[in-house]
Amino acid sequence: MSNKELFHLISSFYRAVRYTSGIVASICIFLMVCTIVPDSIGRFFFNKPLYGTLELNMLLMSAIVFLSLAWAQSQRGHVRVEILISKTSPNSQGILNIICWALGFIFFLAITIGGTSDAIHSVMIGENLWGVKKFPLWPGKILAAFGSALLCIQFLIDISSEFVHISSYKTAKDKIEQKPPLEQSKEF
Amino acid sequence: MEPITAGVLMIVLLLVLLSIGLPIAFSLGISGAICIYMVTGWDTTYGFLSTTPFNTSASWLYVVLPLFILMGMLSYSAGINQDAFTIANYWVGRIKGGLAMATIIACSIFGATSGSSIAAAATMGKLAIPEMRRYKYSMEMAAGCVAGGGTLSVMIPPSGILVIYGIITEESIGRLLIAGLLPGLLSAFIYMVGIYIWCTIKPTIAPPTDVSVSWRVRIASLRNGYGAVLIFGVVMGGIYTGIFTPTEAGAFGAGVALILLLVKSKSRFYSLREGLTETAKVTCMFFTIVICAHFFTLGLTVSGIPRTLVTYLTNLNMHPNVILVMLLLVYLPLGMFLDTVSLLFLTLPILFPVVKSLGFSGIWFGILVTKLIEVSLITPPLGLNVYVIKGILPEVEIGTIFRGCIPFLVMDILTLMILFLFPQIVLWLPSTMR
Repeated sequence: MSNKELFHLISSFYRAVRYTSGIVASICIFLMVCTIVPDSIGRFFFNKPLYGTLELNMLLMSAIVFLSLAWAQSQRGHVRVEILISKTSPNSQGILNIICWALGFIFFLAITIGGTSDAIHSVMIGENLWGVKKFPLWPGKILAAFGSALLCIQFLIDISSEFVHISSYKTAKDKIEQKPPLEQSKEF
Repeated sequence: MEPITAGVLMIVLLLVLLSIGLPIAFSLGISGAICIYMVTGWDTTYGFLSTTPFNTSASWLYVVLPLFILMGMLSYSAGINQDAFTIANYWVGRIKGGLAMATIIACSIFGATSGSSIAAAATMGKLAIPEMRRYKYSMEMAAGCVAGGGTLSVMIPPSGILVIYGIITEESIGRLLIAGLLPGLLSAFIYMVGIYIWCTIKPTIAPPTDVSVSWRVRIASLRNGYGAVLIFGVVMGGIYTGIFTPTEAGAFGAGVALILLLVKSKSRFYSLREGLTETAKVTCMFFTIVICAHFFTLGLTVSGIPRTLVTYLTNLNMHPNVILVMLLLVYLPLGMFLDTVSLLFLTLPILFPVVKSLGFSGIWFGILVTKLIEVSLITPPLGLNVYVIKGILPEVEIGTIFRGCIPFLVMDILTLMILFLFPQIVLWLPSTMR
């Protein structure tokens, strides 16, 4: 298998994981409605709440956020102030984007490393939420670390695609500059 | 390093990161984490980085937000906005500026089932602008009233912004939502009176329509409004009477919207899937800001900036109302450049302690801030609703849409002054809650 094929295989696998994570996050939202409504009805009309609803929804909340992180970044879903960078050249925008995604990568790498060690500790001690019934906390922590790690991978992909854009922009610019003036004027 | 110096550096760094285009959430997180590191060292910072993201997101308090977002998405797919516009058009369409008034009423009804101003402006823009243009309404009037009307969703409960305000300030979310009802209705009423006056002064901007509708048809049309009444009744009725917590009300509202979608929509499963995936994306975007803003708030706390500001402002020899106006004015320039969620997370950790120390009601301040956020949605250069309209009508100049928003800005300032001078409008309904 050539390096190109291997890269293609890995990126396809990553995209499938990112897509699946997004779908799981969507299902988690549906699960919220499906648990809170019966819990409220049971509590109000029959004085019988659904035990564990609160704890389960806390973990679902965390799963929704962390499993959608990389997916939201891939669709540029995170809000940014573009009023200044939109005034710069495409090349400068590419460089600024690389700086931004690199900073994001470093920040979330620290969160991933810290979150992973916290998740491992949580598994080791069998961490639980203590309510009427005990509820395991460690799956939520593992999902949080996993989601952060996916976002780090997404940042690396974004950085590499910005490099590709900058180099392709430079190549296109060089080609235009090499053409005789008449040909350039025709093209524009 | 001196905590205050670290705090000031944090704010400078935040501005630099924002200006190079780093997403607002990451800018808040990075600048906050660096400030914590400068004041407390690596071990504490690493501790926060390890535990804060999970602990912040895994909270029962926050569950209400995705449920409200889902409710709005499903209501939109169920066609509630279309029904609302048809009903409003039958009832007020023949009055001077009637189609514009119908748009405002429809936006208010849609706002009562969804907390998203973008969704309101986008959907009403597609529905109402072609109809107004068909009757020779000027583009300023058509675009301005949709952009302005769209902002009503921010105030009329259930409002996502008021939920976020409640989470940050720890004010009762239920009371905040109920408090938003009268100011929301007041805003809609002032918009309608303003439209009437505008059309009287300049009749060419909104010529009268020639369609006559009998009273029988008008009354019969009300039957199509059952969806909005049901969702609003379940959510706000449940919260007001104390049957539901806001989170439970959100789940019930989403459940009712889901049933309406299954009954009314032709592409029900596609709409449900789209609603769920879009909710997941918007929730993630919100909570990335929430998690990262937590670092910023921690940075502010360890730097002692809010405490210093409170001491400084309370020692000033000024009337508390003057200080409050000064604090509120901060939102006007910031609202021109920042999105609403980031704006709240940036300002409230600093300003809210000052407001409380001056003895003002947190609920009243929340409504005033929400009104200012409405204003920021239609002010240049980044009025979000204006860009939504521009997206629907790419051929229209952005300046035309902003010009159309000017009368609505004037009306917003008038509403703000009324709410400032008469806090009872805000505080009366929450005071009657069980």
